[in-house]
Amino acid sequence: MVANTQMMAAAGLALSRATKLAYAPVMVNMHEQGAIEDSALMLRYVDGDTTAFETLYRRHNDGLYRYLLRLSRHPETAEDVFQEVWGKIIKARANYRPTAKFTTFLYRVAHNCFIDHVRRNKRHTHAQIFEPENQPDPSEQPEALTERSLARRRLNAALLDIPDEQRDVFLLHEEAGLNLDEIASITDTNRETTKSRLRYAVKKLRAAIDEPVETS
Amino acid sequence: MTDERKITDMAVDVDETVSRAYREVADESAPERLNQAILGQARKAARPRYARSRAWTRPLAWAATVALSVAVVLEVMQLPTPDGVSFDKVGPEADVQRDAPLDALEEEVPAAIAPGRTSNFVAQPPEKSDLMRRTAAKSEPVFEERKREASEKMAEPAPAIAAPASADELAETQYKDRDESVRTQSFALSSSIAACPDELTREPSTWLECIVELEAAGRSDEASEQRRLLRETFPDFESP
Repeated sequence: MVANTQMMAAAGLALSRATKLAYAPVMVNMHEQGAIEDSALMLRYVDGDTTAFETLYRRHNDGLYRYLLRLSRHPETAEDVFQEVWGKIIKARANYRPTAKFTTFLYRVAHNCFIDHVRRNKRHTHAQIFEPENQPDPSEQPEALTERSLARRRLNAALLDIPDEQRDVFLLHEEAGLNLDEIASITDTNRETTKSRLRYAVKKLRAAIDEPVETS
Repeated sequence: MTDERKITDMAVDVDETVSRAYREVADESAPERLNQAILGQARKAARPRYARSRAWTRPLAWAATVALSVAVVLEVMQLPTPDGVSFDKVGPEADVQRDAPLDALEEEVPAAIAPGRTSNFVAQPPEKSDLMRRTAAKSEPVFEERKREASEKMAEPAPAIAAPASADELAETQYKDRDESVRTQSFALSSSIAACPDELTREPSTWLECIVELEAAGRSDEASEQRRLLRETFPDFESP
């Protein structure tokens, strides 16, 4: 509790008086939750606190990277878009307003950047497809490695099979932890369409997981 | 969000098996070089604009400004005035010195006027007089020669005329002097034209008598001129 209080005080220190007044609800919410919210961290970064940005970045970098990697199915494309997304977040920091969750804001930028990237060049459709099973963990036991490798392969194959829109919705749900309304706002669709896409995606993936293991 | 909607969402969203399976396989991380690049970009963007410029540019800019200012001031100070005076001092004193020549003469000339002769300079207010005195003292080396010339000129004996009591009288005296001079000149002129009065020139006989008198007085030129005029005016008159 004491540690939380100190952390919250530290979060408030770097914020200017005007920012504190303007975004008092965010700060109150932060105090209620006992942790520094993403929006508060972003506001601290707007005030020049780079450690706040680092904390924020470390929270979301891997999830965003996986989202882009599985959406694009190409590591180079994922890296390009990933860098572009964070570049835009950094550039737009002065205009940042915590009117919505930071995660929604981040993934909306990522979604739009990916669509722009696909429109700009079609590289990701012709390039080598991402194969996660090519990078096994050497510390795993051979049996576990085989089971894990097979499950990974089936799931990835199923993810590649489902349409882009369904994969996008599923990844936004899993990686960003967004609900249907938030996903609908990001993908610029209505709630029912989003729900339908998610249902189909989950159904196909479930079928792939439940598929009996072929023994050779 | 209503309860019905929550239940529907849960039925669709929460498929723990799929979610767990995905979590197990989705263990990729963003490359560390990307992390470092983005964090570096964030740090660079957060720095104040002036700190981003090179550290030596600001002192250099100040030094260049000061050097240029000093050079311009020195150049202006060494510029010669129309009288050949160089302003080796700056500030209010230099401003006073710039106006020195005329003020100094105004100060010195009345002082050099011969005793008994009234100046037509209007008395200056005390502050002005002090100022002029100071400026005269400061510009002494430059205007010494003028001062000496003025003193010599004004030290010459003044003509013995009655000193007018005021500026008006002085002006009247000057006017009278000039009027007398004009009258003398016009007399000389009129004497050559009309040596004989008009009443004598109305009749040729009286005019002739006048001419004879002029000849008798030794004013032969005037007499000749009057004789010529007589002939032109009365061509029928037979003069001896």
